[in-house]
Amino acid sequence: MISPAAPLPPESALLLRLAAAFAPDARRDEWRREWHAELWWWLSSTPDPSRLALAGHCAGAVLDAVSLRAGEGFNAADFLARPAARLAAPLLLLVLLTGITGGFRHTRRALFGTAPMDLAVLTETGPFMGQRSALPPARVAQWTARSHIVQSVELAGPARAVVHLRRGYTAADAQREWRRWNGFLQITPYAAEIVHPVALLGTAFLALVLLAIADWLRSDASGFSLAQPLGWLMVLFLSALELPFLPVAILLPYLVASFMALQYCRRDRAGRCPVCLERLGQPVPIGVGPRGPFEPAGTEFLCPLGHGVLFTTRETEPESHWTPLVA
Amino acid sequence: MADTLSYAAASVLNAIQSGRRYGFEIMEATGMPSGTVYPALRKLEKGGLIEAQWEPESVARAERRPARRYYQVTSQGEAALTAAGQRYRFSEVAKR
Repeated sequence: MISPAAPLPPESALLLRLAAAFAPDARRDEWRREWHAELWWWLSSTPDPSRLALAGHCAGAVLDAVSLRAGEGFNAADFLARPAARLAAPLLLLVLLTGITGGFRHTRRALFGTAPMDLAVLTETGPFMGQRSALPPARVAQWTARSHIVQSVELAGPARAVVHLRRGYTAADAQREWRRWNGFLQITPYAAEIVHPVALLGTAFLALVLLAIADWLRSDASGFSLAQPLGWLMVLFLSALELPFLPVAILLPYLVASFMALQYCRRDRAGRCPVCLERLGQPVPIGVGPRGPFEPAGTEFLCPLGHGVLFTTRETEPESHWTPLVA
Repeated sequence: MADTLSYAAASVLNAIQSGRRYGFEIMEATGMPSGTVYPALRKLEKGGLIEAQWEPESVARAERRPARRYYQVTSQGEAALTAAGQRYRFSEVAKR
């Protein structure tokens, strides 16, 4: 049984938070107030409100907030004034450049193309160690026609090619077969190529852009916080590890560390002024809480530059309310 | 706006005209979900066909509940509803 006085179930609370992020800044408080009242009434008047129905209404709140945001129109100047946008713009540019120059081709193939185990990389070593000569396409086509291990060849560059192996064969089998025709040919498993540093950096950049967009949706700030990019750099560093081939024992700390980095970013932002991003200070216990007469209901923090006051509750689902101070 | 009123928006307008004054009451009357009703309310409000006002805080506080946002049809909205009535056939909504 869901009561109007009790905290909302987690899925509904999450949907409402998501919705609030979409609502335009100028109308967010009013929007929140209206939905709070409507849900309160619905929970009070419905005999046995189900969690599913409540989540359905909260999903409606998301659509409502999105429609409000769409109704406001897109203001490029406002968007660019966001601190996260300043970071997201160069990151997007980097991702674009990486994509154009072929930086994601390994990742893309591994994710959406043939199974990585059926792929191998064909290279030719020159007569002198380390020197590579060009792979002549006509000869490669000839060898492919004679091969019963390599199914097809996709030339990726003048000195290397990606080959598609027939099911059941490995790169070592192909190596043995092709060495008979050219002693300088090398066929290595494609899996080793997936951890190409460019592909890893590209993936990390994509993660950063997504984080920046998520931050932009959450943020009301017009200033810039150093802690946010520091948190992102930590994620970048962790993403740069060769994740797909790490054992589970290392994967778990990786996920925990990433989660902690994100939590650090989130908490850091919550404790800063949304206008200037200075750290809030001078905590003052306010009101009487529900647990006892001497328990404060929450704490009020003041922006050192006088932009406003943040009130946070001590409930299990903490709520924060920012009150701007008018000069 | 009145010329391009969708069926959903016209139904919401009809429900408000019939005495339904807040979001969830309009949802009950029209049978439409919150994800349809609220965006329609925003569009109608932006187009000036309805107007919204908050219930006095003192009334809500006396009854120990949050204040609601009530909607009502404007004169422009009434004209739009008459025009929409010629294009759409609304489901029966009891008058209040």
